[in-house]
Amino acid sequence: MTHSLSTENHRWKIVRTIGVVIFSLFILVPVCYVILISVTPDAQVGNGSFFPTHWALYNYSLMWQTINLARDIKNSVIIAGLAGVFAIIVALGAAYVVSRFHFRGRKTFLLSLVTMQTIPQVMMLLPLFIIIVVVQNVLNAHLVGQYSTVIVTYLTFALPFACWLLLSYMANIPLELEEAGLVDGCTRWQVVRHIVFPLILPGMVVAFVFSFLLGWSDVLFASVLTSPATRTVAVGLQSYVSSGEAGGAVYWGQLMAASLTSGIPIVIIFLFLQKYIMGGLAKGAVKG
Amino acid sequence: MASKWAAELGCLRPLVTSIEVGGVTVAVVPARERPEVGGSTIGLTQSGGRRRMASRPPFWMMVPAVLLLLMIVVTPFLLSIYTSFIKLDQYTIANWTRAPWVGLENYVTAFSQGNALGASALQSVWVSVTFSLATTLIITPVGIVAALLVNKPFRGRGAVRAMFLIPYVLPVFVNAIMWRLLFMNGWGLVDQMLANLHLASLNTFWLIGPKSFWAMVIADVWASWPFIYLMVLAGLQGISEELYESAWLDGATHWRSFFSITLPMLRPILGLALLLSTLNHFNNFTLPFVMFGTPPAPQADVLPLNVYITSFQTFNFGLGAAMSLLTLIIMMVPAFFYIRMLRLGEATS
Amino acid sequence: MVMSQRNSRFRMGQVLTVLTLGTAVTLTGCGGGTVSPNQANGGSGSSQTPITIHVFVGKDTAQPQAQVQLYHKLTKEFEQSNPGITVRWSTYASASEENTTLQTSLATKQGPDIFELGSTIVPTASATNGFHVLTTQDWLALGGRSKFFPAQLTMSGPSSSQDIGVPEYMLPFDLVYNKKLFTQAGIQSPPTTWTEFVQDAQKMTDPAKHQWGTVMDPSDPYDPWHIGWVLTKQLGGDFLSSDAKTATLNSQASVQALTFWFDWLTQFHIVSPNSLTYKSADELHAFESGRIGMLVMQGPTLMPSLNTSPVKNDYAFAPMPTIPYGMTSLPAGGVPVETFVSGQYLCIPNYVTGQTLQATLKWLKFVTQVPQQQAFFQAYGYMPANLNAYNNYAPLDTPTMKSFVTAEKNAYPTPFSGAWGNLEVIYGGVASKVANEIATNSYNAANIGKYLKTANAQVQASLQ
Repeated sequence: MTHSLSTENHRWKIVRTIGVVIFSLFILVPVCYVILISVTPDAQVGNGSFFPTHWALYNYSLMWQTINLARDIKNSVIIAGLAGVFAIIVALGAAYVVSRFHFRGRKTFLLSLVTMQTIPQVMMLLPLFIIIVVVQNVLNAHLVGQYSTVIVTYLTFALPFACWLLLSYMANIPLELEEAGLVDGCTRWQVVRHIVFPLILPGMVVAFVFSFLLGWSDVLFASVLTSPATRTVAVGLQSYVSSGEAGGAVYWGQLMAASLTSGIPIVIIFLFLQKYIMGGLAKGAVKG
Repeated sequence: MASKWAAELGCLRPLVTSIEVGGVTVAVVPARERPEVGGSTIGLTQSGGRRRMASRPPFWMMVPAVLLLLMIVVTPFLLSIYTSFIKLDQYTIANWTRAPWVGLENYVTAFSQGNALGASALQSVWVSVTFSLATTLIITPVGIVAALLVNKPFRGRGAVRAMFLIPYVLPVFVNAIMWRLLFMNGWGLVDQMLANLHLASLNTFWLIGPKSFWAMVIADVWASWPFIYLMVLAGLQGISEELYESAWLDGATHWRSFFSITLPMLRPILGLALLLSTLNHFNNFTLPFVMFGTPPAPQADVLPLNVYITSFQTFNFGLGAAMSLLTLIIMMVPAFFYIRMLRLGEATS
Repeated sequence: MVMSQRNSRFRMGQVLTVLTLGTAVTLTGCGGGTVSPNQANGGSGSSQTPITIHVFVGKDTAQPQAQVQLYHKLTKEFEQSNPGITVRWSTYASASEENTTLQTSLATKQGPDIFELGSTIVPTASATNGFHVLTTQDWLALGGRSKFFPAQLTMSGPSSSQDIGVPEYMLPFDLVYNKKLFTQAGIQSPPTTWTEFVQDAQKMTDPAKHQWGTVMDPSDPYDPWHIGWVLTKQLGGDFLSSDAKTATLNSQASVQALTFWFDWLTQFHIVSPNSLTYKSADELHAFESGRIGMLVMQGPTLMPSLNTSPVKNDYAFAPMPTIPYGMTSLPAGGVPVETFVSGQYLCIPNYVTGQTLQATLKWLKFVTQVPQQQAFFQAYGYMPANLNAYNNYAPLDTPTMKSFVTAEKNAYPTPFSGAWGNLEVIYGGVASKVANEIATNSYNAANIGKYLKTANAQVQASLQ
């Protein structure tokens, strides 16, 4: 009998093993190359031989001095983290209203969300900077170089993104639950807080993760809007590669070592949130 | 009609029951009382098509989002529109409010001549569109396969899931530097491997010439497939195990189940993932900028890079803005139809 | 229901209107004139007002710690002798960051109080009219123009009455060569003509050993025009006419210069094909591996990197060859250019006024004094722009440094044009196109002239 559970399971196990091996190679070959470069003396990078004559573990200690790596990583975590948190909180409100109500301007709002995703960020840099300075002058406060400014800027791309994601998750939450809550005398806020929020939480975690990464990877805005004290790691890493009219030099080893090190906090955040992303959705009301 | 229904709800109240699903108590309105329930055949509760809540929308919840978007996206955007009509360059930037109005000149230049390197907006839009489509088309099956591989528990799944995230968490800057190193002519790992396998010559240029497009796609695919993987994995959690069980009892193989259950159920989340991915790749600036630097090969001269060179390297901000806006208009047409097709705006799946 | 929906619409519309108006008012309210906090400070007129000046300098990636320590020491010293002035400093890591900050600061009249700008961006900065023009009194306060290398002053402004930049360091370019490879190939002395250069390079080239006579970097945004301009000048041409009004990129000298550079690969085979994808950092890296004979157009800032590389005992600097390939003397109109006037300049944006402006001038005077200039050199090898820093100062009296000082004597200024930045980008585009063709085996030397002709039209369009 071809239709046997154990045969299929056995076959699936083989397929899975092959698949995992292929994926591992695909992921790990470049990563291992990076690790190898991180312990290769700079002079031996790309000189033909694959393995260095001696290990340059000192790259992992030197990298902390070449740039203020620890501070940069801290800044990135704060900025990308807060940008992600604000993005999902603000987006939740918008996504809720848009997914639950019909009103004039709704379509426009949705379409403009897509438009915002299509705008090249490069084009927004100068106008945005002008706006920030104008606001700065009105408030008579120093904004450029502050955490808050960079965080708000990252919302330019994190917010439309988070809105879209939450909208799609919102669509999976049955209206009946809220209606029941309203009938029971809950206020709108209580409905959102006690019925919608727990169900959308997994979606919010996903939206947070993606918003976080958008901020984490940005180089363009951060290079203009941060001061040395608030410099993010994506910008800081560039300092291992100097370029300019006076010629350039690359600290290959330190650059790779620092890149790997700076990735650790995000991997931890991811691993920590992973079970919420995966586990959470299953619990939701999607099962009728 | 809706208000009538709301009134009805009051009398329906006693009919609302609580059921327990997976340890969570969920209140459910009996199906026979649901108006216009979407054509769900698989037991998924779908918030019905055009149905909306009847009461007044709590607009205050939208205020922060609208306010922020107005300030940080809309206003700079309007400013860019203005910029596209003026001659804003190194001679006028220090006094840009008084820069001369040139009408549509920037738009004409964007089409006909392009930036200082002679790369027109249309050419760059084409590179960007093919780049984002190629990347998205490649990462979609890769991401789905990856999600299916680790969906069911097995020994070491945690480690594999963690490993799958590595490419995604490396900053784009690092990814670009890494691939620049891998694609270096002659001594890069890619050329070395190709030469050792006798697939290509040691002098296969990846960072310049036509292959730079594919170098960019490969680097981007490597870094971004976990996005689809994560979205699909999350989507898979929402598919009831019972569906597979009943399909199995009906004699469907895993293979059949994938096409008749998994894919249709993933459709909404995939639709969204594809849209977000396409837009995101379309706007990828850091990767080509770090990987190729300026000037890039014409085949890798994506629009953000072109706009960057035009605006920040040759100080032609008016032309840069005109190029961006033209692209926006060109991009809006397919985006609009795509959204209509997916009906993402509707609260339906 | 109808009632309720109309109500909602009204509310939504109301919210939107208020928001839009609010934003619009905020914008127009201050669109007229932006006031920087510095101006507010300057206006108070009291010497008690604490002033903070923000200095924005290029990051020295070769010696980042040395730079941090030096600036820490310098700012402390300066603040002690100038009570009431606080100095903040920050760095840019790349030319793109330098550009972007310059543009955003000028557009908003807010940003650093002192910019450290490269010599070739000074003309662009000057064209913006966004920088403080140094008056005769300003120069006197700085210690006079005469304390600087005369060639460096040629890039301070379009004319001596319109200077915006104060020379801070100079970076003349030389040829750096590998003594070991020279000895192995039996070459006695570094080449003085390009013919010798090619011959020497051929002697050292051995592709089987991955050893090449020289190296090039057509994928770099700047190096192509560096070498292209020097070669063009030696051949009697230039990129712009002397009044900087006409682009002459398509002149015969210019075409010949760029063709000669690519001949290194296509005709003489003295560079590795890998070079086609190189940027300046890759070029240096290749030289440091010890398998490259000569590296052209390199400044003293290279030395810290060379000194920690495998070639630390094998390298030496020499002047660039000045006689064009196939010639025994300079052609008519040719100039013995060894380097263009290169270095860093300190410029003050004109949104800096009043007491802050006075404070920035004090800083400019401070860092161009002999002890500070020597301290910069000691910390990370930047050559003083102050002539007096060389008197009786042993570290600057070495053969290597002398070779750079000699090169500075044959330094010529690039045309002072606000469109020079555009020209750099356009020229880089031409080099990149040619490299693309060579990489895909579709190269035809005649195309260089064609590309330069198109490029010339582009440059002409950006000239004001």
